[in-house]
Amino acid sequence: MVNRVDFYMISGIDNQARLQFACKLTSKARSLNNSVYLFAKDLQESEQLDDMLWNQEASGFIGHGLKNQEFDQLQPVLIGQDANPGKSFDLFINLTDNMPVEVENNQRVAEILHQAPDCLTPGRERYKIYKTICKNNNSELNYHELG
Amino acid sequence: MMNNQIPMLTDIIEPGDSDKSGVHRTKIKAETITTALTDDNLNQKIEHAIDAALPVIKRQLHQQLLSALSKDDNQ
Repeated sequence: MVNRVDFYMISGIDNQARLQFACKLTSKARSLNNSVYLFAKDLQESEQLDDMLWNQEASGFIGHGLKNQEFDQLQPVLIGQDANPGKSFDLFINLTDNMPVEVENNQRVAEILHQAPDCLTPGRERYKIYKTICKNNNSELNYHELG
Repeated sequence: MMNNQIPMLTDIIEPGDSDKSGVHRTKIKAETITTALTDDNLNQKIEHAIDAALPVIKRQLHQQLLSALSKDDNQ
């Protein structure tokens, strides 16, 4: 059951900033030993996230892999384009404009939005859906505006 | 880490990655070791080579770890 949903609104309309913030969240989650699923919109974005995570700070190490590749079920951080990652994660980060199916199997959900209308409009729709889910589950729904 | 465990850059860089890192193409031309070690340009090249190699090392180490864990699980 999902215990907490966080919406993060970043300034600007830069999708790259959205991905960078996702990497930061992943890094923070890993420092707490949490498993993470990054739900990317397509293969290109998955590969971009893969590169970004390996290129995080030089002394840092965020072990991760892509879904449907070798050892994907062992990955502490998995990147994929499937709404359903196949197992539950401590943190599910949605980088698509869709409502992930069976998202409630994960402990926490992070939605990262930027200011472009094609990102904001579906994001608002998802917020309404999460509001109902959180109300029914008695779980937290937070909204963070980032500078 | 023992010296013989430190991976060689040329072993680490996978085919196709040379374009990204330029490691394969970096040719060190110096009259003597002293001039080479005091050459800022060379230091910069080495720094770039390290920056390019680190993600590849991280990726390989992670694969090795998962491979070992997977073998443990299967035993």
